[in-house]
Amino acid sequence: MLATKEDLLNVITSNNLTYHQKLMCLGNSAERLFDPRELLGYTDEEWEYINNQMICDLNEGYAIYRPRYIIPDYEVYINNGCKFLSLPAPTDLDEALDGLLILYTHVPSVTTYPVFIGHLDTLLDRFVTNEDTDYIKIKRFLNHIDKMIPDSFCHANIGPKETLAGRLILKAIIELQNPTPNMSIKYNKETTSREFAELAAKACLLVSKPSFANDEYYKSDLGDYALASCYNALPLAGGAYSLTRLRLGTIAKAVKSADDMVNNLLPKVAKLALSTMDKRHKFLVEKSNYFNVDFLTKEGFIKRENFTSMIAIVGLADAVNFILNLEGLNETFGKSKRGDEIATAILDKLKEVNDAHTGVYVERTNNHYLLHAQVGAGLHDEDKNNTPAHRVKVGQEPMLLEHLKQSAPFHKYFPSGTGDLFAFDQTYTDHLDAVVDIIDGAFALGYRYITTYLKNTDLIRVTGYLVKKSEVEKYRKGEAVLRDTTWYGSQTDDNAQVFDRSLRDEANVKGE
Amino acid sequence: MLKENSLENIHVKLHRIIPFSNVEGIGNRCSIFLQGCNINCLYCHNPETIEMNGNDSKVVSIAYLLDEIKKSMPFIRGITISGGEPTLHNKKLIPLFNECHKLGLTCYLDSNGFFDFENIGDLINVTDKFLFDIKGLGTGLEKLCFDYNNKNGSENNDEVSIPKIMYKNLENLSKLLELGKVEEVRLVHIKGFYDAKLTVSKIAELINKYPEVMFKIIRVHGKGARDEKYILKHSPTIKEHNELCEYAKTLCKNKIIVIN
Repeated sequence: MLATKEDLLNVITSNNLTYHQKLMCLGNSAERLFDPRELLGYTDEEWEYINNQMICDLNEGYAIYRPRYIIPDYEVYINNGCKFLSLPAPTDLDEALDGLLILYTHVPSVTTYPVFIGHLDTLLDRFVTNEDTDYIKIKRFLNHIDKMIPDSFCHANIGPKETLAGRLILKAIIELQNPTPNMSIKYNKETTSREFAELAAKACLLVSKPSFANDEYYKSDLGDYALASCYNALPLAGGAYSLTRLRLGTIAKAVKSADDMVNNLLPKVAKLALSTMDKRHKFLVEKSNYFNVDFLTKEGFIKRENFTSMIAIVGLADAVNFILNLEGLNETFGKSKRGDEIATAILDKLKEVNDAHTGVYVERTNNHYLLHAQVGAGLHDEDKNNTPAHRVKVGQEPMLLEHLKQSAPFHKYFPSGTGDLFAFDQTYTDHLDAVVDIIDGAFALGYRYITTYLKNTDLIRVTGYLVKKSEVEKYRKGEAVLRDTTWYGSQTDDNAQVFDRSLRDEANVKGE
Repeated sequence: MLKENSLENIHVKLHRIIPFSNVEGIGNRCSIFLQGCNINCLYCHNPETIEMNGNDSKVVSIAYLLDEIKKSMPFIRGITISGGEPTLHNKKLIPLFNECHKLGLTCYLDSNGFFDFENIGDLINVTDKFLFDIKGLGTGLEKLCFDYNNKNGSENNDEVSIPKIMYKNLENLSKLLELGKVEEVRLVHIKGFYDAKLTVSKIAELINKYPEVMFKIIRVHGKGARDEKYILKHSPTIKEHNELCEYAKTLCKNKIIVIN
């Protein structure tokens, strides 16, 4: 969407944005003052399909001057220090924590804040010498991140191996109950100890993080990788230039049949989206000078050659529901065999189109972009017709066991990330063994990523990031709030009622 | 083919199946509640499972149960047969357990402890673990568990005869402990039917040698009971319950799980 000078003035005079949020919004609007047909060479047809909302560029901006997501290899700092910042390699925990906090303020992203802050346990474990005093330091460090990076797309990784640092991190996040950083545990049944997994499951129930990532699966797809932002799996020491979404729910509204969707409109729109991505990458790499200027590249934290890009979907459920209705079936995605068939045909076709497209500057992923199941946003009215990713619409979820089995086959399409989440009742906090069994089962069926949380907590996972329900209430009343993600949480709840996800209590689990 | 047929031809009365359960033994398990019990606990919170011919039960084959269990895979690590009293189904469960073992699932029995050890020896052999109830010890317990005529689960002053089997539970527990087949011992704490301290001390004495065995002490609740008011009259206070649990902790080093 193009911005206007009026948009800028509205940001400047807003009464519920903080100074930093205004700065961020002004920057984003400025990027969208340029018409991409002139600056990037978008065709009129591409522009038409962005404006009819079938393609959503997430308002990334057209005068692009940094990649969307950057995944620095922070080991570079631990081993070499940072010349640009005149930081020597750290020799103890204090120096390491201090140096990382400094570095984070210099890692850009589409939100201006870092979306990946490292494999914290492996980075820090070598410096942990005293469990009691080092715990206090690690907890203070994590709290500092929450206040300094007011954006819960900021994501830390731990695992797969249990370490003392990893245990201290989990203990600290449970105590802090902060939305930021988002966190994933790279989990592998063979290498992650059961105790560590259960501690992570406990944290996941109590403070909605870390989520569990299927380490073996992602490694086999991506090699060295990290989880960033919501749950985007991306190459380490690289990242993603861009993320462009196909609103399947919106596309489906223009089709006459499943066949029309799969063989006509979907491939057409997907190809247009892919070609806009090519043009964005060319500008970023060839014109913006980002990779020529930033010390992250010069000092080896990232390499241009390690970047890829994400072509994403939202609204699979809405598209399928629409087509089921066209076929005269009174069924909904999640509880419909025909629905799963339609969904599979859609994703098979999308994979085929993407596989046939040669991407620009993405040699790291074999010159292809990676499919991603995006968690949703509230940028346009059309987002109300597009349920996150391939998830079942809230209110139409099947029972837990059926839901896990229904969703598992769709994970394979999304090497750059997908995930499902399940709200559990309080009794599971006393039965973490059962939670980990469910996660093991999900991964055995091809799940890439799974999150659980307790429904009655203030801190909850909206779609792929955390918000405090109390903060959303404040924002809804028109007060300024610290985190940009609180706005997104509020919009997404308005659109998708994610605060009301089906509770997996006794009755739901038992199938009553 | 013969084997398939035989599983088809063994039938049990099923009360219901819970595809995921986190409370019937360690991990996520598929719980199968079979119809019929050999005792009549006044506080029973599933009294509809007591009668051998309950209304809301259906006759199913072992093959059917196996199919239902498979639907919960790979999310479960095993199954738990509960009831009613599962040992009443004795030999019928053996082929089910054998098939489950082939699938890599563990097989648990959730038993009230009142059974004839020799009679169910073959079933015990194929059972991985017991969740073992001790309902209480000594005289008085017959009123709580063996008053078969007390269909309403209410106060009843009739004389109740003491069946031989009433003294079997501690002996059965002891034998199963020796075999390493007990995961947890459960005691529902209710006042006025047995000597709670004596019961706890006898259990503790037995399990102390097996520190991996958990001891769950549950304060009686009236939920689901036929005469909730009557049961609640006999409910210990939280303080009394905690005191009993503390007492247990002084007697054994096992993990004591307190349920209030």
